[in-house]
Amino acid sequence: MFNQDITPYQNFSILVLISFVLQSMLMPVLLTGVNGPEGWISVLIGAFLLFIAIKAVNKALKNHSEDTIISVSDKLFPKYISKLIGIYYILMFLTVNSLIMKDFAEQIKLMMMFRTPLSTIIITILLTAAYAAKKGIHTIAGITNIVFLTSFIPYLLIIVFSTYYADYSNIFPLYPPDAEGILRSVPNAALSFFGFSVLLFSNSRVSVKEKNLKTNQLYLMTSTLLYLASYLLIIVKFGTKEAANLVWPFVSIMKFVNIPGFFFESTEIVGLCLQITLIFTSICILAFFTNLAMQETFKTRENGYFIFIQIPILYLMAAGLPGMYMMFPYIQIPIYIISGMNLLIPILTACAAYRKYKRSI
Amino acid sequence: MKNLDLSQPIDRDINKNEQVLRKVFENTDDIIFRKFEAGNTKLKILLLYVDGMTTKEAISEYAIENLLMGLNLEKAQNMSRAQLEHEIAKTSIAVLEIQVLTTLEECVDKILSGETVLLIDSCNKAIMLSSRGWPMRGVQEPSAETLIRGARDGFNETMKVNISLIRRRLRDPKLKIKYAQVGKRSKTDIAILYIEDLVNKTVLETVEKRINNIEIDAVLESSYIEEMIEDDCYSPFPQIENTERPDAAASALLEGRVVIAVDNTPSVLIAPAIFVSFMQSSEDYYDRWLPTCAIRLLRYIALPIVMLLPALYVAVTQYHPNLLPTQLSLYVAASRANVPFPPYFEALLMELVIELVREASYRITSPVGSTIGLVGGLVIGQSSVEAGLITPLAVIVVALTAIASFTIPSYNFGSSLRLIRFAFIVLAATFGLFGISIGLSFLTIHLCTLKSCGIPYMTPFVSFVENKRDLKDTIIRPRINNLVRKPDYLHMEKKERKNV
Repeated sequence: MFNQDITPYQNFSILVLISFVLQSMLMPVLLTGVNGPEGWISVLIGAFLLFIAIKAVNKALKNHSEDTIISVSDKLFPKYISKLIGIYYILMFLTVNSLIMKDFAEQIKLMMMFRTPLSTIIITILLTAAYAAKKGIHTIAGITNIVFLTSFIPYLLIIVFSTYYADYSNIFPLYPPDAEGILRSVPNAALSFFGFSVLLFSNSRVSVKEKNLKTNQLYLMTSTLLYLASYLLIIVKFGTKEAANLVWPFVSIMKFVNIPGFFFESTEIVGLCLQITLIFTSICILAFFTNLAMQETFKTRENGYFIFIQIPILYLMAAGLPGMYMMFPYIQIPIYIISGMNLLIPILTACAAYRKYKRSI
Repeated sequence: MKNLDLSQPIDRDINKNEQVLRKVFENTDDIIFRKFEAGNTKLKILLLYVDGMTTKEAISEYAIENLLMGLNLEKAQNMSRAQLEHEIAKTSIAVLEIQVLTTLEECVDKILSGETVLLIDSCNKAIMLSSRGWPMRGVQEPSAETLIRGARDGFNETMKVNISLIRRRLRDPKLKIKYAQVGKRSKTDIAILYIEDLVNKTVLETVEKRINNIEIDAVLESSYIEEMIEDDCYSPFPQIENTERPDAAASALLEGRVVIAVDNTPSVLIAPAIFVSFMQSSEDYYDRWLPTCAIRLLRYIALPIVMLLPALYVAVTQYHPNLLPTQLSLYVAASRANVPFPPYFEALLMELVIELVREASYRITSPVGSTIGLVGGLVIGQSSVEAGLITPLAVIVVALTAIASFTIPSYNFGSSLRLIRFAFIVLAATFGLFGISIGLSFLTIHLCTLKSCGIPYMTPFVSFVENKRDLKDTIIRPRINNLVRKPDYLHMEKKERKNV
């Protein structure tokens, strides 16, 4: 009856939230990747690369504003390539979602539910997320906006109160920088802006498509600022050496929150409760966009029921994968591959769209 | 009744018509058949009405006398419907509403609605004389929505009185009223009210379509309509607002919403209804804006207390005692030492007691009702603590929750929150704070899915940047002067409140 698309700002909040969750999950990789406090340079380089990519993709795909990356590639490339792209995105979304879920479930088990089996926590999250993913993008956008207001902003405010007793000299020395480490961490930083992969799908569902470029750029700027602020906060709080050993830097930060007049003994649980809603929302977002990728790849009319295929896959992947802290030594190569693919596929598609457009005129 | 075909035109033979109608109203002693002869030719006339539903004086003393004197009955026999209506209009009949009926079905409907029907021999039409009149409750202050400042009049069971109470407040020709009838047996009158240039046409069409699609034998209260036109009947949350206050209904109309008045019901329905509207009271706009802001804020603080406080008590005492300040944690542990039940049982038990007391106090007369509340609160709570069944903290938690629940202005909405509270206690008992977080996430998803006549229930929070103007009148109440625009979420054509 009314417009069922999402608004530009709803798109913005989806992109910022999903990126924030990925950034907090991959933060330890960035902290260990650079030998020194210069990780923020990797973040800036990554953001700059994505800024160019966002502009190129938005301009080149202007005539395909109703399409997702999969349906555009279907029009531009041979069928098998578009299918491969579709399958890549499905697998990538599933992998990332299962990693988030595993990491999230482990945090909950360690901090809150010592005696509850991990599988019970995972299945509880999965079933609730499935309910949201099945309801469609309007619901996903709605919960993201509400979570933005009720959890994300308070969560950030709580983090701000952790700057008590921070040692700001930890951000020095800047010279000599670990140039190799900085460059090696760029793919990781770029992957942390996961909203870039999501916007290739979500932009097609926005009601005012003319605002997509502006919204995407605003997202990138906001996300970069949040990433830089989080990185620097961890560095000033713990120092480079100690920060490199943190598995969940944000949870560690919560332990040092000092809000005047706050009477709770363990603030990390309060922070974790807010974090639960944030991570949970990002799981819902990813589950929905996996559904959408499945719908586009397999050319079905309705996507809600794909969640029933996702549930066992996600459960098995999340239960089977080792914890993030165990994967750190082996994660660098997959990050390079996924980060490269995430950048390459949209840029190649944009180039193909641009060439087709040039030929047509 | 099925064997009688009432849809056929009225017969010229009055005896045949009488026979059919007597068959229809067989064993219905309150239907009065008054037959008499009038005019020079001793023309037979049959008068029908329901005893107790008509104002007999108006009919017998003024209407019939004037009608029979003024109308040439012999001529009337061969007149068309329009001619007859014209002729009746020329008489000095003292009844405002008159209608010519052509079928017996129409006659039966009108008689049962409280009108008087006049059948004339050799005339294949009947005349309806408006004579509805029955004992009714006066306009009183609505007991469920009492205010300190504001109008004291409330709706009663007569739909037309209710409409007039709204009309008194909105003397706008753009205020439109559409009548409908629902219920195969009850034939309940329904009025759909809206302001033509403010209402969202899609919402209006949706409401009309849903009302027209209702198939039911009887509508005894507006809640029947509410249940049948809401978007999600399985949701615990009300999606249609109801009020007994004419000022609240008028205000809803001015916001571009649709008001549905149902006969025999002292409350009207308002659609669409969003989450925010259930947290507002008419009084918010009658008091000074600054204290009202604080009161509204207080309601939003009460909302999580109503839903979550007992669940938080269970989660913290059972799973996360380390969350509490050390002294409090030690006190809780000491007070729990002699209590044989786990915290979730304590919370559920006390909540159950509170609900029992609440239900009991509704069922009995008000002076005794308040005594029951006191007895329940003081005696049961005190005795339970002394008997070592529950901790004093559990009593404080449950009492605070009960008090907070009274701050929610909408009774329906408050009931939904009370129901959800039990689900949260179970979740907290199973998964602690994680369970509460999952429950809240589930609730948020559900609320974001919910719609009222196509309008998202969580408007304006679900798109707070696009609807930022609507945020102004949610958690706080701005000055009336600052409310220069009507809500954005209804996509009205005329949004300005000034220079209309």
